[in-house]
Amino acid sequence: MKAQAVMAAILAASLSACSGGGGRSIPALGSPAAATGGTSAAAPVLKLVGVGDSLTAGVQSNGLMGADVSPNPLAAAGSPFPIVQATQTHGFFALVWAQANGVAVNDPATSPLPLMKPPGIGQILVPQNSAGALTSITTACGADNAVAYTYASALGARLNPTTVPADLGIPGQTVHEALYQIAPTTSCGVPANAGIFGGLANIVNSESGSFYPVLGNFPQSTSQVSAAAGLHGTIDTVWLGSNDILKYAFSEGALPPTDPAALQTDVVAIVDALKASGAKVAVANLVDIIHAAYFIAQPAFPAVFTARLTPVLGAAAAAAAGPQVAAEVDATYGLGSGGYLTISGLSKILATLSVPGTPLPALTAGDIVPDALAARIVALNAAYNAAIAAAVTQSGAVLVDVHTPIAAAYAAGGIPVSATCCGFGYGQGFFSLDGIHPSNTGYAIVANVFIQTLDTAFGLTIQPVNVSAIYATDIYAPH
Amino acid sequence: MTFRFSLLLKTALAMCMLVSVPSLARADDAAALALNSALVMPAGSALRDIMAQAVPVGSPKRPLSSPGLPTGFSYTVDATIAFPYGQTGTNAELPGGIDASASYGFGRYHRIQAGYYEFQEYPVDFNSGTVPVYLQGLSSPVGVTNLGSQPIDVATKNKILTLVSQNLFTLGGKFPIIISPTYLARTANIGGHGDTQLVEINGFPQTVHVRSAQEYLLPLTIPFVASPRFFGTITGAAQWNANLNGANVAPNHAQIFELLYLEFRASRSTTVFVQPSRLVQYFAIDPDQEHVPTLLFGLSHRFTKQTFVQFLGSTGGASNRGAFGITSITCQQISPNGGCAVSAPAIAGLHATQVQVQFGIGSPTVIPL
Repeated sequence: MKAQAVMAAILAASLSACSGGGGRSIPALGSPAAATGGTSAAAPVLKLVGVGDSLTAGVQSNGLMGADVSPNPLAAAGSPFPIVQATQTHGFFALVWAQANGVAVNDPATSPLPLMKPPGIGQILVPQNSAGALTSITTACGADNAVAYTYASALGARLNPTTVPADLGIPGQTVHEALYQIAPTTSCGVPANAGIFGGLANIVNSESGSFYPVLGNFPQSTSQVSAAAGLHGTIDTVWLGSNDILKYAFSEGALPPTDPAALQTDVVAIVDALKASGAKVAVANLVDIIHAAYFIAQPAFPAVFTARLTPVLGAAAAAAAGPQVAAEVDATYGLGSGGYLTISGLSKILATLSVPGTPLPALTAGDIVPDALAARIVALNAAYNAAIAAAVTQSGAVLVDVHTPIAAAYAAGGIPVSATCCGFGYGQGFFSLDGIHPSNTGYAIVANVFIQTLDTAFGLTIQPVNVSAIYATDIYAPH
Repeated sequence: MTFRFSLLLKTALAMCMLVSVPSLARADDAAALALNSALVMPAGSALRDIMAQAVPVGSPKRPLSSPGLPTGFSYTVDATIAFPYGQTGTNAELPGGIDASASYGFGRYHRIQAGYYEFQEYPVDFNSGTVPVYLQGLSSPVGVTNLGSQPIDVATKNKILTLVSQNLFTLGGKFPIIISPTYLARTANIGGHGDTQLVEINGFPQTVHVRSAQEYLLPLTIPFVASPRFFGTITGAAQWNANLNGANVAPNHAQIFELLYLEFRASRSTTVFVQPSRLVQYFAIDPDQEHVPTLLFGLSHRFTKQTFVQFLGSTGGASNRGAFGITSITCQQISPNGGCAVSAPAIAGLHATQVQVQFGIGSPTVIPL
């Protein structure tokens, strides 16, 4: 109670300073907000506008970056990557836009993407050495990230600050945030777990850090959907909802999940706003989040630990030790056959195993997904897809069914792009280094699902992406 | 999608979230008081005199040489103290106030009046009860807070200006009516400050004047009872929002308010009265008009021809709102220390009950003497 009283006093003090302030007009929900700074980079053949989250933005390996860093500053230390690759230009929206318009998306002069200056927004992961340990080439609140939290300075994070982007995906945003977030909710440097809202700061920091760099060409206090409506696209793609699941999953269920009915209402509102701006709208459903490489299913633990221990112990010893470690993990964390360990949790366990005699570490939210929570996540995923489908029907949009082909591919054990690629496990080619966001190849596969749907639904002739060609240069895919 | 590798939300959210909000409050029955003073009493005064002549009641009546609206200059000034009642959730205190009006009758059929009125109230459910706490952009609440843990000062002094043109007509040469085109402008001090406030409206944070409004009214007042002891009028009015702003940008259709006034003259110097009404209010915070059933009741006593005291009870609240006071709080920005740097409450309807004591001089148009 004392802590609460202290917190109450802090809150009261902070809040007392926030009354009053300048007035401004009240935005109608999703009302178009015309860009105030910059111009469109090119006159596109097909005016596509992307509304979404990190998948639309083109996040890979936990970062958003618009140009390569070459050479990789960690190459000398043994990192196998010769460069730190741009992420945005490999996203599905970038690929669809490029296929539709035949214009390079990596040129700041022509790109429809809000290209972020290297080292990018977020903390892009890079292999630190040949063993595969990951690190980042930037810090959580370094200069490149800090500039992003202020409207006046955020465009300084961009390679093309005078370009009004057509890709408005904001990493981290939920469906509701796309409609209602009009400013960052955290600032750079919020202590991870300080205060009542400290834990929340973690979970909303991604959208806070990327909000202004993406929407900086629009009036302050513009939501993503209002900005998209202001662009008056010909076809608008909407892919949202993954963060509604992830925020629930990574809070270990502490953050109440979005009500599927509320999500449906929001999707309808988004489509209505975009249609009112003159666009045809295509809404994508969600892949099964729990099947992302970031989540390691309990039945796979013996094989995973065996593989991870092999470089250290040798094949024979690892084959014996792997199942033993897996059993100890099951017992320590109470994981049954429906539970999951995350890449974060796996990293902590492996670090412990490197020191003989050390007990397994205490894992927190985001490290494990107990069986019951996993079941709720799966159910929530299905409920959101049902809500999206219902919203599409209700609003007269077109459904981009990403879920069905990806789920089928997962069930089949992967997508045969080459003899060595691409599986859905960590490092097997479909995902980038964060285990959540697709690799170049993964995004190309998703882009073709969108292209096929747009062509069919709207009578277009956008040519599919050449997945094999993209795979050939994909640094995240095994060759 | 995004993710972070480590979260400690569970612990943080298990805590009772203590969140406070800045001072604010908004409408309830202040407009009823103003309309009583600006419309009902002047009209009633004239109608009372006219009806006394036109409708003989058998008791000695005052001979009127020229029944009609008062002519010439008149004024009133009073000072007030007030006391709140209801679920204010704190040791609520109200400031003092003053009222003043001046009028000039050009003849028996036409009169103009300007009035300034201060009415105090303390709306309920701002400092009591538990409400959900949201983080801007997230659809599900992230916790709850007890409003009583950090009481806020919502002592409200409404300041209302009225400009009225009173026009007397007699239908068929017998039945009097008064039509009073009116302009009403109001603002307020809340908690000793202005009424500018960041609030959450329809999912967005907005800074608005929560208790300021301007309205046009076209009231029609007719008598329904007139006797030596009783007198009553009914007033109906078309009402328009004169300044669409904030959330209140709905089509500006005319709204109708109704107001009934009934008084009982206990003696030559003492009157008891009651005034039920259904008012319409337009504030920047209201997406649509607020319908406010209100009840005024009281007793007035005249010490001398130019001095009086009045005890006035009033209670009222929005009938087309699902709740009163603060219904949720949305944190707009997390502060560096993990608290909330900027918060905005969502407010439903307002309800307030208070007793006011007025001490006045002049020609008492503010009170129903």
